[in-house]
Amino acid sequence: MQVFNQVPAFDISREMLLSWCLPPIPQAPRSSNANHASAYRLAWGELRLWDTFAAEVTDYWQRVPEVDKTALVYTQASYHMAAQQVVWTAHPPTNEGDVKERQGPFVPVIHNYAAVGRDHAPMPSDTHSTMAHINPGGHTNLTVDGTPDFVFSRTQNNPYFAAWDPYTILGEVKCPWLVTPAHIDQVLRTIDPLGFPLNLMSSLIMLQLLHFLMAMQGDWQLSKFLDTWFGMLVHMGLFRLLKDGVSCSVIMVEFSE
Amino acid sequence: MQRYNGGILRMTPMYGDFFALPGITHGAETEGYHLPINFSIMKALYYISYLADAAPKAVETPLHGVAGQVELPMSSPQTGQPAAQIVQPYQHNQGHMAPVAQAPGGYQAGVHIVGGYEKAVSLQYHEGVTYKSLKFEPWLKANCLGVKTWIARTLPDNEKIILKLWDAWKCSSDDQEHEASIYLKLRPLWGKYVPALRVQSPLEFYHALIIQYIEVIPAVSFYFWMC
Repeated sequence: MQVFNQVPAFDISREMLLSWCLPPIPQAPRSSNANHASAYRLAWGELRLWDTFAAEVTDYWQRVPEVDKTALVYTQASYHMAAQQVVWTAHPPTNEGDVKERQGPFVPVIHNYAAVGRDHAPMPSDTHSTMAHINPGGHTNLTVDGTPDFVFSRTQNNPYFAAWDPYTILGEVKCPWLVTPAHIDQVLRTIDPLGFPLNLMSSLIMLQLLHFLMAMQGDWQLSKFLDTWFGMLVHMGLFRLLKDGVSCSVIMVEFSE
Repeated sequence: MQRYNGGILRMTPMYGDFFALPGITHGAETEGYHLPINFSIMKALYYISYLADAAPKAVETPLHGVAGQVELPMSSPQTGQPAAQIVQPYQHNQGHMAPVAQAPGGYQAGVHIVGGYEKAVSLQYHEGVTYKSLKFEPWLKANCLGVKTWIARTLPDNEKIILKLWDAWKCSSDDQEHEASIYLKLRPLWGKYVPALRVQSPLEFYHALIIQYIEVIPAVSFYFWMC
């Protein structure tokens, strides 16, 4: 039997593919305020501002070889089709699950074409992790407790995810109307400018008290935010439960309204 | 966000680079997102993917730098050693890590810590065994027996024990002391009908009890063995 393995006619370079802005996600007029709360609760000892991140990304990209930047890794037709699915306005997302489903066919797919050679796209010179969109119940062999929204795993040049590969990043999706940039700035402002660490273990007690007070005063918006922040911390707890003890990072993937 | 050993979390502001689309959004900047300068979100993801893939495996380690090893601050009044204490929160002090002095009433710099714990009960009820060092690996699922209870091992003997912990920054020692008192009342039954209490001690910032590990044969196996 002849195996037909057609390589798509790529016409977008890695540099161009990764430079484009993300397509925005429409939001339904009445969106859910429900948060997913995990049973795996863990507080962190110290919170620090990652203020070198922008410089790190810029520096890294300057060091990417020209041959990697110019390599053609994706097709314009596929890109437009994937972007259309994100901005599709007929049934706008109303909850966290919908937001996640909108990004599923876009962010992981684009990343894997650019980073790990999906569909025989040329591999970059350095190694990257494979990104996978996780569906509850769809990956029964996950080696973490709970179900993260996205997982990055060390697949060693294999562009496809396998549940038993060591995880390197867990990705969590939050509703953009519940977790806003202002809310995150509010959290970051609590870090002492002199570099004193914020003790989250203890601060949770204060946040819970504030949460209660805001709810008593009818400030539901702030109250809801605090609730959401607890949820984010809860998800971080997944890290401790990694069986393989791999090093991990996490990116909170943010989306537009 | 990026996690470091020792419970440290590094976090960026919320970046966004999505474009304006009529009827959907006026764009990332209008919505208050931090605009990435000289990079895009997908490039940032590409960088993080590289960073994470290149990072070595990081096994959880305690402050002493030995994987899974924790030390009990066992003290003996006979030897004149200072009384054991609950470890308090740390904060930077001119570039060095120094313990926070505990203010009266348990409040320090807006942080609420339960109790002062200048002294904590440190008692051993099992002679002949050293409980000073333990191998404690809570990240291994096989060691987790519940919300507060884990399997650990004594070092260097490698004997299995049960470790029950209460977060001392959130809980007073009441629950630990109450449970220890129940075990002490049942002392004649230790090792026969109830597991023996081995140690009552602080462990870093926890109230801890060390209890005898008893291997239980599942009933179904016993049934088949009888047949």
